[in-house]
Amino acid sequence: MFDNFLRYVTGTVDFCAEGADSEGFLGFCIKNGIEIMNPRKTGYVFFGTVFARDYKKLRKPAKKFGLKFKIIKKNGIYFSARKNKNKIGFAAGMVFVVFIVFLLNQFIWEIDVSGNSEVNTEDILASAEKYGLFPGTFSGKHKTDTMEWFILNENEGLASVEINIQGSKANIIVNEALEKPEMVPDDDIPVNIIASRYGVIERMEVFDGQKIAKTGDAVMKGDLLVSAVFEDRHKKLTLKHARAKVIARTDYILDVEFPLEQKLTEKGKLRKNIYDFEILGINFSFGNKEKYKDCIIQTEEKQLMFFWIKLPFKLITTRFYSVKEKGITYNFEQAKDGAYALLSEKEKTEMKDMEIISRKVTEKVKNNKYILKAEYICLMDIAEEQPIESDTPWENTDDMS
Amino acid sequence: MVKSLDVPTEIQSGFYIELYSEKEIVLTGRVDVIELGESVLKLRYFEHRIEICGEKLFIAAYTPDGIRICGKIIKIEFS
Repeated sequence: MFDNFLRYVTGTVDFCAEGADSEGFLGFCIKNGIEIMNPRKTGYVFFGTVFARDYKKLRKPAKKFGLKFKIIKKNGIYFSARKNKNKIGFAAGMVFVVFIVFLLNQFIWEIDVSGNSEVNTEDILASAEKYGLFPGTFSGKHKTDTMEWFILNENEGLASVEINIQGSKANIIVNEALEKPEMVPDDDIPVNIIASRYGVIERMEVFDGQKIAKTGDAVMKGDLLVSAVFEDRHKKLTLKHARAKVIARTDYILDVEFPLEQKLTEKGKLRKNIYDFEILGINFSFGNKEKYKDCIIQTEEKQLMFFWIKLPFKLITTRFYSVKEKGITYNFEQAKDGAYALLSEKEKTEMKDMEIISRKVTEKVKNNKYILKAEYICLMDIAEEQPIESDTPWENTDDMS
Repeated sequence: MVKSLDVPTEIQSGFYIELYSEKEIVLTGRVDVIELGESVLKLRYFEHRIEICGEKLFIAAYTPDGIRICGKIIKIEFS
């Protein structure tokens, strides 16, 4: 491959020579340092290729060996340029295009933010813009170290920021900081722990306060489980902010309704296409979007490219579709599946902290609805804090305050 | 001296041919092409005449230091 490139740069001439003693000619040339590439013979016609600089040297030996010479083809950059010298406008255009692309490549046209999930991309971009990094700025002028430091200081949730500028694209790579656990002192007021619902206590973990109920007790809603009044071994009473986890066996009910007749909205006919052009970061819109705000909107962006280089031109197509309402009637089987899917979803959200021991589901159809009633026996934390109103002076005895 | 240095005899005589399966032959040293053709290539190599017969034979490289011939080589004859 390199050989071919070298030949293209230096230029070669394909020739044919007619005569009897072409072998003698070949040997003579090699002896005199003229390299003949790809020599071959068909009948009395000898074919070969020489470097352009050696072609003139062939005249003498050709005469000596009685060969009649003819050029078949001239290859190489020099010959191509000579051949196309009349197409100066085209060449100038090409040079101009290359220059424009080179020039545009000196500016930032795209900023990409990666590595963030909690901190908004818009916030990071706003910080970058504040310190001079935005589409249309000269890529060479940015002091990335300083900018990284500014962005890091301005966005609290970030642990590190790295800015890489590659051609017309700036990549802002961030690492988010782990959120510090909030240390809220919970001993501000004396609090009792009461039962939030009825149940049989399975286990108790008391962190602070005086344990009143015990494992195996059946409690009703509002019963005192852990008292804020704490009596120490010297019979001295102090008030506490009681804290406990009380896991009780109780029941829980979930209701789900799935209508047999439903109306669904779906994308209808295409009503309008509105095109926007974004040139050098400035948006030019060709159409009134307000008129179609009730439609289903779909947006598509196309970035113009010059080979692999992104150009600062974007074509944004906004498609507006009419809203089509469709009535669907489900049969019982379909409705049952739908209702169970809803129930499963509800279990995942409402009962995520509970441990289900058993479930009994009753099904019925009423008012054109498929209704499920699920009764659970489950284990759940029934501890509920209840502040106490007392005239006793509140003395905080905890260390954390 | 050549014997004492244990120099290979082919280098001693300057006559050195390499054959890579039936597809390529390299002759090192001064070679003259007597007849050039796709099926027969006749060469003068030192005091020898070598005839290479084959199919689609072509000279891949030819310099004052040697010659490389490629193609399907069927027969090599010395005379």
